[in-house]
Amino acid sequence: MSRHRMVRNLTQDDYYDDYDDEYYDDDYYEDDDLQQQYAPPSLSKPIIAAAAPASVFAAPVAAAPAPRAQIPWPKAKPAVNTAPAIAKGSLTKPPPGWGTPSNSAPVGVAQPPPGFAPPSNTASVGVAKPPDGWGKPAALQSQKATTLPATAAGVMKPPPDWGKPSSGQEASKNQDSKTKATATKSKSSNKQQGSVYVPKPVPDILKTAKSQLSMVVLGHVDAGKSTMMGQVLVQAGYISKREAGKKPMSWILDENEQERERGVTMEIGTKTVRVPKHDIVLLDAPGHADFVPIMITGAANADVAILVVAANTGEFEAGFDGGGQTKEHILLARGLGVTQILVAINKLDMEDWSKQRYDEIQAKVKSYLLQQQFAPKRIRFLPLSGLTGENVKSRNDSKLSAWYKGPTLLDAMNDFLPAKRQLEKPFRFGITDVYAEGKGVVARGRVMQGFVEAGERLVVLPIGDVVTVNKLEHLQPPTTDDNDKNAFKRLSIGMAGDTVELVLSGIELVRLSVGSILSNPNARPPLTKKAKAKVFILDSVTIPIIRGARVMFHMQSLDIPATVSKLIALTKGGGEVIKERPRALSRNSSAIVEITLNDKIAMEQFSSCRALGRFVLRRSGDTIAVGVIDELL
Amino acid sequence: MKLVKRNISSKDGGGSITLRPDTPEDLWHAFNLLQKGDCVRCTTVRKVVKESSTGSTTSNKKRLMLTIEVKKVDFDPDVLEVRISGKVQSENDFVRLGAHHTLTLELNQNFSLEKECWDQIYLDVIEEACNPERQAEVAGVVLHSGLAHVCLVTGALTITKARIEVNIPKKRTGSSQNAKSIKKFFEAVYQAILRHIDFARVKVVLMGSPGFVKDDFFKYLQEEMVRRDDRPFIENKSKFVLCKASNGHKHALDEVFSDPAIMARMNDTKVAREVEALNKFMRMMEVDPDRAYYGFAHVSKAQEQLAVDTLLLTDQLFRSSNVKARKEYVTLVEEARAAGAKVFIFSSMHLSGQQLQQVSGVAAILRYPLPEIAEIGEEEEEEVADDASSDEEYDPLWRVKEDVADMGL
Ligand SMILES: Nc1nc2c(ncn2[C@@H]2O[C@H](COP(=O)(O)OP(=O)(O)OP(=O)(O)O)[C@@H](O)[C@H]2O)c(=O)[nH]1
Ligand SMILES: [Mg+2]
Repeated sequence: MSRHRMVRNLTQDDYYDDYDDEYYDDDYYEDDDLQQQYAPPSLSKPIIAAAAPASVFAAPVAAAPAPRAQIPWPKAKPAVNTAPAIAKGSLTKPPPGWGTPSNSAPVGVAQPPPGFAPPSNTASVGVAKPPDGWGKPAALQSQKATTLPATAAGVMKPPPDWGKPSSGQEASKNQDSKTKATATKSKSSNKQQGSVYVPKPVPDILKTAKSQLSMVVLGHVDAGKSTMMGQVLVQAGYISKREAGKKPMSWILDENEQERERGVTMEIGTKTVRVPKHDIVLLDAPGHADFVPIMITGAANADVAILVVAANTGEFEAGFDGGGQTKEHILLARGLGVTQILVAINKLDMEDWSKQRYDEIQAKVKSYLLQQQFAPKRIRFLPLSGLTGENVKSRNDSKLSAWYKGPTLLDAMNDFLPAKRQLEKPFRFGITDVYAEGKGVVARGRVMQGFVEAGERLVVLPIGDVVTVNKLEHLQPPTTDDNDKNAFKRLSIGMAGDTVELVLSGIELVRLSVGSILSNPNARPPLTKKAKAKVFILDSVTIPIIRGARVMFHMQSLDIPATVSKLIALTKGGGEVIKERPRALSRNSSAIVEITLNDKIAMEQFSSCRALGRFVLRRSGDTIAVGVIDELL
Repeated sequence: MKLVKRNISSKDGGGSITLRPDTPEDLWHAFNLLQKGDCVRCTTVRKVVKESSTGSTTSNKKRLMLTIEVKKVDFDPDVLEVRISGKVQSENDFVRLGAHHTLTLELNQNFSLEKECWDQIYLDVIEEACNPERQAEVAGVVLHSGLAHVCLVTGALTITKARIEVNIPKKRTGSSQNAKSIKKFFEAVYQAILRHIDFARVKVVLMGSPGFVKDDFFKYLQEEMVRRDDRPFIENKSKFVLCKASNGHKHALDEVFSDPAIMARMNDTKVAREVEALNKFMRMMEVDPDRAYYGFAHVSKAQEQLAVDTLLLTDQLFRSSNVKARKEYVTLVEEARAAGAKVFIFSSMHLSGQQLQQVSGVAAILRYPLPEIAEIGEEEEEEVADDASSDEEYDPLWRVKEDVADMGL
C-alpha cells in the first residue's frame, strides 16, 4: 500500500476521488479494503438517487473463477456477429443545399418544433410520467417524488419546492446580477432534485440479465492493436482461418481502403465477441496522435480497456516516453471513467520472449498507471504476440511457457469485472453512428443509463425532434438464461451498457447526427452552453490556460469549440481552494473553471449522469485537461 | 480605400475626411473609424412619402445626399456591410431635420466623416486602409472527416465562405456507405473552393487537417480537376499548400497560421504577425508569468512603470461607444509607443483578435518581471470581458426597430 500511496501524493493529489470505484458493486469483491484505501476521507458517499438492488449484479459472476484453460469457449456464431447486409444503392440523401454550401450556416442544427415541451435545462429535468405501478418501487422514491401531482398532459409540473417553473427561470435571467446569484442557487438545487427521477419499473428480465461489456483497445500507433483484435476474432472462431487468409490480420478491423493502404487505423473498429462471462463489444481505437479525438469517442463508450504496448526495442520507448500516445491514452481512459485496464505486452516474439524485457516494461507502465490512480487490483499484465497468436487463446512456445503461467488474452478478457449499470436512472443514449438503409434511419450507440424498448418515443437532443423506436437490434444478441421462458424479451430491450442499433421513424437522416443524445421526452437532460467544472490540467501542458483560452471540448462523440471563460479557483485535488481567481492554470494543477461552449449541448452534472458529466479539453491537437461537470449555468 | 479629401485642424484635431472604400476590407476599416456622435455625409436611398391633395399617399424611393449624426454602427460579417443609423442633420426637401435614418456604406461611393477629434488611432486606421500595397489574400481550408471550413483571410478580415458538414457513416463490414460519403464530402469541399476562391486575388490556399484527410482530399482534387478540366484549379495548382491543423473547426485556422513554414511563405501578413505576437505572449505566460499580463488594470500599471515591451490590443476596444474608455486605451497606446514599445492592434475579425478579446482585449509582454502587479485586483477586467461578450450577441430585433423608425413610424 505504502508504495503507490507515495507515488500518488507526488502527483495528482486526489483529483480522482473514489467516485469511479463506485462504478462497481463493491460488495462483490473481496478486495473491499482497496476502496477504503483510495477513498479520500472527506468524500461523502455517492449522490446517486437510487442504488440498484445488489441481487441484480451479484448473480452472473458470483461463482469462483473456472479453472483456466478449461473454459468452455462458446461456439462462434458468425452470422450473428457480422453487421446486417446493406441494401445496395441506399445511399443517403444529401442535406438540402448540400451541393451549394454558400453560406456559413451550420447544416442540421434546428430549433425544436413548436408544441413540444421546450428543452429547458431546468424544470423538465427528471420530471417523468408516473409509471403504471409507480406507487410500488418505494425504495426508489423520495418523499417529494411521491407527492408529485398528476396532470393530464403527461408532463408533470414540478411541485413548488422544486424551484421555480421555467417561465420563472427565464424571468430571473433578466434580473440584474445581484439577484442572479440567488437564481443560480435555486437552479442548481433544482437540478439536484431533478436527479431524483421516478423511473419506469425495471422489467424483471433485466434484473438478472447481463449487459454487454464495452472494451476499448488502446495504445500507441502500430503497437499491434488491430492485429491483436483480428487474432482474437479468429481464435475465438468468429472468422475462419481461411477467411482471414493471407491478408494482414489487422484488416479484419481496418476495413476502410485508406486504412489498409496506409496500415493505420483511422476510425474506431467495432466488433463483438463472446467469452463465458461477458458479451463483449470491442472498440479498436486508432493510435495515431492526430486521431486522439476519435480514440476519445471510443474510450468514452468503454467500461474497460486493453492497453497494447509493443515490447520490441525502441518501439516501446518511442510510444511511452516523449510524445508517444501510450501515456496520453492511459490518462484519457482514466479521465473518461475506465477503471480496469489490461496491459498486453505485445510483439514479445521480437524479443525472443524475454522475461527481463517483459518485467522492465511492466514496471514502467505499472508505475505510470498507479500515478494515474488506477487501483492496483484493476491493473493486469500479460505477454503475447498478436501476430503469431501466442498466448491469445493458448500457449505453444516453450520459451514463454517456461516463465509465464498466467491467463491467456481470452481468459484475461473473461476475467474483467462486470460493470455496474444504472438502470433506474433516466434513459440516456449517445449516438455514435448514423446511417440509412433498407429498414430506415438507423442510429447506433450505447445506452449510458436506464433502458429502452422497441416502440418507445424518444427525443433527439439538442435538436428536440421526437422519434419512435421502430426496432431495436443488438450488435450481438445478449446471452440469456436458456431456462427462462421470457428470455426473448431481452432481445428488444437495450439496457445500460448495451450497444444497440435503433431503427427510428419520425425523423430524416439529415437531422440526426453523431453525438446527439436520445432520452425520454419527459426526462430530458438539460441543454446548456455554460458549466462550472472541475478540471485537472495535464502534465504535458506547456502553454498555461488563461481566462479566455480557446479549447476543444470533447464529450462522448461530440467535439465543440469552447472557451475557458472563467478561472474560478485553483484547488487541491480534494477540492480545497488554494487560490481564488488565479491568473493562469499550469500543468499538474486542479481547478474549478467555467466553460462556455459555442453551441448548446445536452450535458449533466456528473452526479446525475456520469457519461454526460465527463469531458476532455484539447488545444491545437494536444490533450490539456480532463474534467467533470459540477454545475450547469 | 481612397483618401479623397482631408480637412483636419492641426490645432484640436477636429475636422472631416472624405473617403472612398473600394474593397470589402475598406468597409471594415470604415467601421473602425465610425463612432457615436460623428457626422457622416453620403448619398443614400430613402423612401419618400407624398400626400396628394386628395389625401392619398404615394411612396417612392429617392436617392439623396444626407448627413446623419451617428447613433449606432453595425458591421455584418456575413454580407460585409456597414450600417449606420442616427438622426438626419441636414435640411432637405424630402427629409425633415432630426428624422431617423439608416444608411449602408457602399463600395465605390464617397462618404465624408466629421469628428470632433481625430486621434492617432484613427489616423493609423486611415493610413493602413489607404496603403496602396494591398495585403495579399489567403484562402484557408481546414477539414476533418465530415467537417470543413473554407475561409478567406485578408489583411483585416477572416471571412467564412462555406461551412461543410456531411455525416459520414462509420465503417461496417459489407457496407460502402463510408467510402461514398467521404466522396460526397470531398465533392462538397471541392465545389466550395471552386466557387468561393478567386485565384486572381488569392496568393495561396492553405489546406490543413489532422491525419491524412488533406492528402486524400488533395488527391481527389487533383484527379477531379483534370477529369473535369477545371481551369482555375489546374492553373493554380502550385498555390495549394498542405499543412497541419488539428480539426476542421474554424478556429483551427490559427494553427495553420502559426506553422513557421507557412509563415515564411506568407511573408509578413498582418494575420501572421498577430498570431506570432499572441503566441509569444502565451509562451511568456508559461516561461515567466511575471512578464506577461492581461487586462487593462494590470497592463496600464505596467505601462506606468515603463515596463511594456510589446502591447497587444484588439480594435474592438477602440470602437467602444464609451468615449472615456476609448480614450484610456488611446492614451495607453500613445504612451507605450512614446516609451518605445511595439504595439499591435489586432483585427477582431481575425481569430487571433477574437482570442485576444477573450482575454479582455489587452495584453502586454514586459521588459522585466513585475511580480507585484499580480496582486492588484482584477475587478475591472471582468467587466471588460462581459461587455465584449454582450457585444457579440447580435440582436436582430434592433434592426427591425431601426427600420421601423426609419420609415418615420
Ligand atoms: N512481430 C510482431 N509484429 C506485430 C505484432 N503485432 C503487430 N505487429 C505488426 O505491427 C504493425 C502494426 O500493426 P497494427 O495491428 O496495424 O497496429 P495498430 O496498433 O492497430 O496501429 P494503429 O491502429 O494504426 O494505431 C503491423 O505491421 C503488424 O504486422 C506482433 O505481435 N509481433
Ligand atoms: Mg489499428
